[in-house]
Amino acid sequence: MSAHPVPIAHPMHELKYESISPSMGRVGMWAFLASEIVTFGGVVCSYLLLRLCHPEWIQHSSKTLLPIGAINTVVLLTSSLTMVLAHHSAELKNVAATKKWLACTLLLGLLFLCFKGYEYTHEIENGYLPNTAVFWAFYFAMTGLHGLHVLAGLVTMAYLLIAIKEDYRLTAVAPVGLYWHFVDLVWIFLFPLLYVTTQGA
Amino acid sequence: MAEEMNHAHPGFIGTYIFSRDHKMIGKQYLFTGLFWALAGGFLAYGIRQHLAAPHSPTLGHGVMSPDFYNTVVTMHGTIMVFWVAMPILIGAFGNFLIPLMLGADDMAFPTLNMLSFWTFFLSSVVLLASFFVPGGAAASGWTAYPTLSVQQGVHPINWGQVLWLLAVALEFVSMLLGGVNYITTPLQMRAPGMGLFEMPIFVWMQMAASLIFMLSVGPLVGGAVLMLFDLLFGTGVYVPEKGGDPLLWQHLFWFFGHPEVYVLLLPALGIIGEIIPVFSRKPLFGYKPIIWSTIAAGILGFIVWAHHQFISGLDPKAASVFSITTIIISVPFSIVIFSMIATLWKGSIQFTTAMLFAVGMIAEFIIGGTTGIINGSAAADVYVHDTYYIVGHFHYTLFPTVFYGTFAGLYYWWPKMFGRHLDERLGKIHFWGTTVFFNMTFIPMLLLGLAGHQRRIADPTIFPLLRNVQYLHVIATYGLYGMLAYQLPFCWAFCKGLVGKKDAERNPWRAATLEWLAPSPPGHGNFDKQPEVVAGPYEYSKPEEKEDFIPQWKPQEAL
Amino acid sequence: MEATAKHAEHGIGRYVVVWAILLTLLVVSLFLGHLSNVYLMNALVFGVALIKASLVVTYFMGIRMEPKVIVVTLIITVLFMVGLLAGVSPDVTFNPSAAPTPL
Repeated sequence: MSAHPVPIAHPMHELKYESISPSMGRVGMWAFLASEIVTFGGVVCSYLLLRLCHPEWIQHSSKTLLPIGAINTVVLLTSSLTMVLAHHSAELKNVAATKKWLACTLLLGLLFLCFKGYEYTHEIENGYLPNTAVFWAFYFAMTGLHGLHVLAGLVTMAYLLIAIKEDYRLTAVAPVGLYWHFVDLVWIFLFPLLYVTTQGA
Repeated sequence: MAEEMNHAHPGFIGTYIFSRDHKMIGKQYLFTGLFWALAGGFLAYGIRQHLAAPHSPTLGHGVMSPDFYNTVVTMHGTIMVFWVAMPILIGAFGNFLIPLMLGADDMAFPTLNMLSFWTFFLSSVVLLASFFVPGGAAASGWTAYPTLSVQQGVHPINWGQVLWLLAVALEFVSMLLGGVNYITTPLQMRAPGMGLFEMPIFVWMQMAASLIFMLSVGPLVGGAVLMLFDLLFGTGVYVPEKGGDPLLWQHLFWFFGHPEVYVLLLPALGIIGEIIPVFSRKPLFGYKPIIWSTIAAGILGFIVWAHHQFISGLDPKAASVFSITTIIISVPFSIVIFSMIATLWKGSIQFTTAMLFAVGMIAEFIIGGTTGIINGSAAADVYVHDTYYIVGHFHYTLFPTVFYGTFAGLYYWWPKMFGRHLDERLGKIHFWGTTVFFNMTFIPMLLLGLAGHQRRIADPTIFPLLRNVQYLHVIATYGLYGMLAYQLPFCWAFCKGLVGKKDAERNPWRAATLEWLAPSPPGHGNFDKQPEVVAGPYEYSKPEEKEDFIPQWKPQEAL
Repeated sequence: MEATAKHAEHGIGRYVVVWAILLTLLVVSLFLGHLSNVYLMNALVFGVALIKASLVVTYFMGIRMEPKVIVVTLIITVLFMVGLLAGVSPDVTFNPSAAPTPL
């Protein structure tokens, strides 16, 4: 996601490229997110397709922890807010505020993973392993894939926290923000899919 | 990172290994892909030798067991599609040419580009390693259909299949990272004066191919995660006894697998779309219709996938829908192919090796395309599906696409890549030999299929019915020998093209696109000066002009 | 530059309001989960999820600042997923010969 590297001491130095959008980083990130939409879309579609013809999955699906899921939704929605404030500050070239809000987002992301870890522990202790039923295979695959995306976002944010300077990497905050909102977006759909509508009467 | 960029000389490792320069990354892809082409070719030899003489030893490894034959077929398909076609057509040509054709100094995200190659390299290592695990490499076909692929073998975990999935997933990640570059660079880094519709057709095709790849591969990645669960944790997503559904994988696979065909075809069409106008000295016929047809085909390509499943228990109503969409999709591709042919009409055609391969690709691909119409219609397909007819059909589409496309591109852009010409005389021997023996290999397969010979049989001689057509297997095998032998002139030309004085001119073919403005080979940063674009990419033989072509660039003073 | 100006205009307040709406919608969906009519419950809960998603895409991700080609591509991407669902459902969901789950 680098700014365009310019080979120094070279006549191509002062390139002016035609540009159709505010930044290259955002275009690249949208292209990447399109591929992410279909990745999560594929798993979610597979889950839906099987779920719709297997009403008996309710036996297992009702065992997911709705309260933890709800708390995690709050955590992730709030982290999206702090993220939006971070790239808002970055656009105003305010390094200190950017770092502050990035740090908040990072902490909230860590909190999300902590809750997720608690949930996994609880499920595994109660004998709900991926091979217990196909529902759990999907549960662990979907939340696991999402969790890995959260982790990747956290690593990127940690790097940005260290790297950002007045004239350096501030433009990278907006694409990373896009990515983080997308991770939030996925959770917005996973929450009803795995927690809300699965509890039974 | 800006500080690191300041070094004028990045050192040996920075230049040749962890390079961010799109040209070096392109070459890295090229050499890795060609290495895998040798491996895939060797496996092809193994298959053909065994089929022609199932009871005599295949060079180097005794008489092949049916299990080992399955492994060889699986790995031949996997390697040729994912480790030869994609890295060469997209990784190598895309990387090397997109920034040059746009007048840019590099890709939009050079670090991502480097990561893309090294992820690909890692996937290569994993795939190689899979040959040496207990139980051997994957043997469930390149489509890895469950329940065969999720079955336990002799070993509790089918490591060959696990590593196959990991390697394929890594390869997808690599191409996704590359795809971000191939899409962003043309949108954002065109030289001043170049609108989207002044871009060479090659860049359009690469962009379209990358986008199609990125929008189709996701479900398979998700499906692969679920298959890994099945293999490692014993879940049953694809196992009917455990409440899963094997058809789900087939759909996820072909939702990607069909667009993948276009991911391979489009870059090759882009390559010949550059070559044919130059050697006909005529503008590309129907530039915009080609682009719009490509976009239409790209979208239609997402709703035809189930024609690969006509005989796997597909709902008959769905089969008619997918038949119709499949037959419709031949319209946009016909437009593209006819435009290429129309470009030749009344041109001053020069048959250089590159041009021979380009025209050869069209000719052979038409056979592949027309044999496919029969498969596209569900009623006709039931008869020929899963026979050698299918094998012949897809080799007639993919071999011209991948190999003719690659050879055409290499003979044409070699001066730009390495500063030397590939030997034209050897090239012509290479072309004619390859073409004759290619047809000798695959026409028998079409006939075998029509005679009712099923695919994936290790020893056809055990079926009395098939003994009558065994001679066709023998012909095909001699064809393959010939085809492999005629790659030797290319290998010799290739080696000669890598050493010696760099004597290629900047624009040896008198072509109009921007890459020919740069030095041969271009240095770091590509151009001497920022090019400015004043013309379209294919302004050849304008009657009112003195020169027979107008280059895209504004003339620059003393270089 | 233009984008910066646009952003500075409405300031932080708007983001906080969107966040508050999102949290309210979360609570609403929790209540909706208790509806006894399963079809209605699913429709409403996923309806609310769609509203939440569109809020995030519009206000947090700023999709309206992007060029049209990106928006169109993303819409087509989502439509492909609908196509996937439609194309696979006759074989997987509504397949009469599919084996029932052993419990």
